[in-house]
Amino acid sequence: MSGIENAPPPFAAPSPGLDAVIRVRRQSFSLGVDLMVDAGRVLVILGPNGAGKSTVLQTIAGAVDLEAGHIKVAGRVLDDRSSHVREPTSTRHIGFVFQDYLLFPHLTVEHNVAFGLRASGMPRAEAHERAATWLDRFGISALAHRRPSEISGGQAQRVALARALATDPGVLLLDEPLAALDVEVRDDVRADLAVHLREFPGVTVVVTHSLADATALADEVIVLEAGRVTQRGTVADLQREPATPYVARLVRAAD
Amino acid sequence: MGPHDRQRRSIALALWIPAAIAVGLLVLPLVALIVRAPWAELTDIVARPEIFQALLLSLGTASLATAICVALGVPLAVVLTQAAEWPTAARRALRTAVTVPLVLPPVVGGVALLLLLGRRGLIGEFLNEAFGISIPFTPAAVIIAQVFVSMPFLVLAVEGALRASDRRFELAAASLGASPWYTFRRVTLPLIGPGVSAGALLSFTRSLGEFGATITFAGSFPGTTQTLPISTYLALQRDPDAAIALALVLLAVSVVVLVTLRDRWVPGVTQ
Repeated sequence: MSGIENAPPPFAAPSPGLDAVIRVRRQSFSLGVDLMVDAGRVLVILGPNGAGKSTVLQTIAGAVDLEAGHIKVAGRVLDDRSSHVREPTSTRHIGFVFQDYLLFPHLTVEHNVAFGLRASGMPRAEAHERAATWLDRFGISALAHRRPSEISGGQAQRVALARALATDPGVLLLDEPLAALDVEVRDDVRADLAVHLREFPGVTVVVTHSLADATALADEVIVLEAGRVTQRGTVADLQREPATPYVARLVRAAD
Repeated sequence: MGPHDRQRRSIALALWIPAAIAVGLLVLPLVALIVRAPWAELTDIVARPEIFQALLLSLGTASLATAICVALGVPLAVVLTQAAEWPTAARRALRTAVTVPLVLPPVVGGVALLLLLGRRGLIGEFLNEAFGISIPFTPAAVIIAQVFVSMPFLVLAVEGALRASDRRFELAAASLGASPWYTFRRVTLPLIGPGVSAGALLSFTRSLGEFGATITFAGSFPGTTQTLPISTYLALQRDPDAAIALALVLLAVSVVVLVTLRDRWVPGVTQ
């Protein structure tokens, strides 16, 4: 499969995005996933618990070592086992939204969003001005001076997304971004998230086990089961021709 | 009441008696101290020059020792938590070295410090010959003895805080472009702040109460090395009222620290 994906494109080259060949081994678990996502597109990785979905994101972020393969973003090599390149997480320009958001509890919302800008050396005033702009864009300016413990889950999700986007990443990784939310607010937050992801010019990879998330967010979907890709396509493809019993169950449950 | 309840009650009784004796052992001595204290002359006694001097010396040395414990102990705790990647033998050796002062009789610590830094000590001889520096029986010796006995408290408290903290915050910071050093200063340190405060308070009380290592390594010179606990012990022979007053001062400091810890800092330390 990687042979086909690495072959020269027959027509115009796609706008450079994410090119990842991921081979990871941990004790008895092995993960093998090839990803090609154009900039501006949203890839959703669907799969049951323990399939290795989060490991894919952690590998792209540089928190997990590749056993073989490579990770390239916009043509830049972040990780390549064969040439021993390994960029640390901090220089990968990757935005990561965690399932439980991991907002820094000792910082206000605005300081959280300004964190990445400050870390890269932007002067305080400028960083906070930018952070304020992002909060405004997400409609959460009123929360600027609150602590993460003083805001709701849906608000925290927006802050986490704003914090990741403020650093202008090439790739945005979201690990179960809606799983921590109450059912009542999930639909609203999901619709909101879809809008923001559509505006994001880089590559987005979302991990979820919910078909509703995939339907709302995905340009393309891969299904990951036990470390292997069992189906690729759109949500419509999955619904039309489920390749495995897991996909079939998922589609049926959504009807 | 069923037979089961009755059984439980007799077990409860069997536990209550030793428990009550334990409480008595812990609390009654302090009650005696408070009952027998010369309350009327308390302020006069503490204001006496030689006692006030000891008080100032104790507060000063214990504060400095605590500052040194924080400056050296926090990095050590961080290194210890990252030691997972080290060989097991090295990790065990380091861990043992850190905890030995906790179980070592303080007098032994004092003797060991003399053998290292004394005039004929391993390093002391060189310091004396090369620079004319002699550490024993100086305020510096008091501080070194205090650091020796109280550093483990700081290290263990901070290490506990580090282990309890969510290391994924560091991944979150790195994904935002923060260097490891920036992450340490802006994320890790603030998150373990309560652990550092708790460890510093424990180190301070341990330093303030230090007796054995201090009298062995630093002696008991009024004004330079005679700290509050030493002067309490010496006062007991010639002026019991002064000894009780000094003991009360030390007790008061301990209680303040305990209350502060319970109300404001990590629950893990006092609960």
